[in-house]
Amino acid sequence: MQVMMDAGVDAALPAYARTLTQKALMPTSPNNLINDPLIAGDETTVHEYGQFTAYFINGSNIPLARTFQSRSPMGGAVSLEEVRDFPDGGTATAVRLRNQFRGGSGMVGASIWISAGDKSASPTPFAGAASSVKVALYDNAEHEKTVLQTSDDSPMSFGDREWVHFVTSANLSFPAGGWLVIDLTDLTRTLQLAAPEVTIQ
Amino acid sequence: MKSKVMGVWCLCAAMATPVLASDLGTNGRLQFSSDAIWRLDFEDPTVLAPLLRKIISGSKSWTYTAVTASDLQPFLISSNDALEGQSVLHWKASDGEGLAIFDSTTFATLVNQRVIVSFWGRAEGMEPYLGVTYGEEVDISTTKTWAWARVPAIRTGRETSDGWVEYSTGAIDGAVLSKPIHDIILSARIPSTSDTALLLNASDSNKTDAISIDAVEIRPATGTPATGVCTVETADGDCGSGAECLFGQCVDSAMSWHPVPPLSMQQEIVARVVQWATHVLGDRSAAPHASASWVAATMALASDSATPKSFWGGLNQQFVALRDSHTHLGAPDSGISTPFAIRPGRTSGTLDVCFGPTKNDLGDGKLAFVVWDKVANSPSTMMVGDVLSTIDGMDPKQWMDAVYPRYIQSLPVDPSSDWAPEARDLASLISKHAKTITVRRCTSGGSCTEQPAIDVAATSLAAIGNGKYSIGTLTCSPRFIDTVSGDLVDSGGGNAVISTAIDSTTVAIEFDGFQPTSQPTWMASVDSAFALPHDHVLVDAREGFGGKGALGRYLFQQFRGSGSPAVLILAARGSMEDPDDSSLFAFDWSECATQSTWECQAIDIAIYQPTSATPPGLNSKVAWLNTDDVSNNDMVPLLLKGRSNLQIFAPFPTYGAYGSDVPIPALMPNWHAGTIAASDGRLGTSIATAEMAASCQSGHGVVPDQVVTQTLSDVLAGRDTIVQAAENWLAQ
Repeated sequence: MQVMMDAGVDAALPAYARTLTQKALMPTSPNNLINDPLIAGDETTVHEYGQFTAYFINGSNIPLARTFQSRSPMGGAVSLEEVRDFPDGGTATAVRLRNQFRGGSGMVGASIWISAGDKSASPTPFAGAASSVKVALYDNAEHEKTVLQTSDDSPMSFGDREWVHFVTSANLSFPAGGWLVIDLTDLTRTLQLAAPEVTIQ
Repeated sequence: MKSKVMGVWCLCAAMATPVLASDLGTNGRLQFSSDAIWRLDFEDPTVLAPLLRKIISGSKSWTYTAVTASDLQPFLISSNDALEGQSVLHWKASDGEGLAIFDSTTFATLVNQRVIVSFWGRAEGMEPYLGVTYGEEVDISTTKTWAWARVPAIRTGRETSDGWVEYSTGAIDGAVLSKPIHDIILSARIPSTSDTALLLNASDSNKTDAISIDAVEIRPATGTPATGVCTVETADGDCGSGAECLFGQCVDSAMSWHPVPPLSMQQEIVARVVQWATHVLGDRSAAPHASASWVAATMALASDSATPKSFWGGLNQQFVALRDSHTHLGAPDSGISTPFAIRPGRTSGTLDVCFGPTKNDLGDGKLAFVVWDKVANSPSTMMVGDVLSTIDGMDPKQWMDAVYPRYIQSLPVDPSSDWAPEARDLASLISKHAKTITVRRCTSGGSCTEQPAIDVAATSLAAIGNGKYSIGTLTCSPRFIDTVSGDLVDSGGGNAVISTAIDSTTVAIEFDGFQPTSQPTWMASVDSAFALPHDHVLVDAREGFGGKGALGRYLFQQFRGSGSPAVLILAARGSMEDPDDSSLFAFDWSECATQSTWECQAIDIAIYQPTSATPPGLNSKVAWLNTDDVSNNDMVPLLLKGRSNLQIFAPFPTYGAYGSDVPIPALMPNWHAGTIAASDGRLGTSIATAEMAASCQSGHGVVPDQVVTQTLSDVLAGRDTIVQAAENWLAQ
């Protein structure tokens, strides 16, 4: 039996500009040294090894929040991290997210996608937030080793959001591992983060 | 050619063109598959209303409620960017739990074929979810916490440039043990720590989160539904590679493992697992098990011809082969309870009995699985004291060693403790996977007779039929008799510590692990125990699932003072290539005792050491009982072993997993995330000597000072052999 319920005929509809694409399951390489590529973290403020943690610089931890969005550079329904709805941070003026990566022989490259929003997390052009966002790699002694730069094709628009790809401009050696660090220094803004990746070339 | 008859579309001409999945036309609009046998779009609410029911909630339960066209109209959004036709289903978190598609007439036609159920969805805060639910009306519990089976659709990798994502169940049976598809749930996965929460079972804190869904269709798939009888040992031959043997019947393995993803995603998954096992795994005993041959076997699981059983089941066995109690794959979650769930557990199963590891002192003197408990109205003829003789004609231990690794999430690091989890989970495992068992019944005088064979499969099918789902009422335990009576589960479902004075000088303490709902409450319960007379202390830790490091430290610190210190330090892997790379020891770990520097955090340093010269249990004579103990329940007895006036009583060593675990990302949506061992432990008498220890501890469990095993004669007499031995020693 071949039965269709209310199956419409689309031939009369106007053309719509969309194309078919093929996406991977996960947004980052299987060889990612970041153990938490979906920034699943923990919605509590308890830090688990290998998971992203967020906190006010010189202040308390901040719960992580997530959302599923299909319209993003990653596509699919990959979960995105939302840096929003900050609790009272007292005198804190900046928020930091960080996660460690294991070291090894070879040169390390890193990247992450970031989108900006206003205080209520509604999308805003990234240019307005650019000066308050920094992505860097640190060593285990808490020294900043390199700052990631925005890629030439950034920003890219997906739905109503602009996404910027931060990438390392020169590869560095981290034999003992290190940290991927994202700082936001304007607490009237919010961020969405996705696809953090650190790989050894 | 298509013709419309009373709102139902029929394909009236035979297919002359190749069969294709739904695809974009040249106008950018989705066209249904040319071979679809059932299609649903979201254009006309008057056509949809008879097919859909709204799911209305409460906590963990819901009802299916009829809807009218006007009820549906607000959820059908017309827009030029609709994928198929002119409108889509748009559902917000505040709109309810979702919708269920009911078309029993069509579903009844599918029972003798395999089908593919697919749709396109867009995540707008939540992830679209489609679940194919099986069962007759009687099989769907009124609270909806149970159903016969459910399979979710998973991503195929095909997407559109504007964010529409294709989901499919892949080929699945149109019926499960003759039970047809009951409904097709349309709902959402919501952001959560567990990664598996569905709008069906939990609320989304952001009520504007939404999903869009379009173009639901059912297509025919090649092959025929799994059928026939089987044993788990001969399932591949009895059922083919796509079916599991459950309740003595061949069952589509997608019901247990969920669908297998496309080849490219399989390759991505196995590559990620290999990376974790070879570059992240911190258990120094397990890490060498991720050898070149293990890597090759893992990579080979990805295949065009893979089935849920061959891929997910195979991957599970590769995880288990690592022999690491902290490392596992995770497990599929359908948002319901189902008799086809893959993991065995501690329940007494459909036979409603529990087994324990027992020395058969009335027979050959060897270890055996013996019935330790049964409920009065058990459907089984077994009696307490019955010795399991065969499972499907095999020696029970050999059967367990062959079957258990296929379904359990991990095995002990130290194989000599395998008996403990095997006995705990035996009743649950044989309920699902054994066809026939035999037992031998002995009298206390030593006279033993074989009993008639027990048809486990038939008993189990009867127990789960007609919506009863009688999967066991007991929680099986490695304690033949509890030392302390009371509830070992706290108000939030976590571990509780209970204690009682058993004579004028002795306090007994019992607990199942270090994972309470409230850490302060757990610690206060320990303090309460030491408010009782504690010249002698009997600690019944025979069930020990591990848990919070802080609580393990707290309990250890009650018994061991700084005058005779034992120090255990957990540390993660030094580098990708070398777990014990020199960078690991490039700084003084003692700094981590007082501050949590990035350096300490980078290798996940955790230190167990005494903090007081005079803890309350310092001078107590302590009998510590172990049997089924892992992680913190390895580490605490390791740190106490050798203390004066303390003896460990157990039939086996502990699991030998001295370290911590961390979550790994769920390998597929609607799977619980797995974990991987992050660290291993180094033992010394100070932080410095522990850091310099020649090797890590994992791989060998804590060997009991006094090896004591429950005996069959004591089972028949109602005596707990281990407790009795401990009490005798305390009384000396």
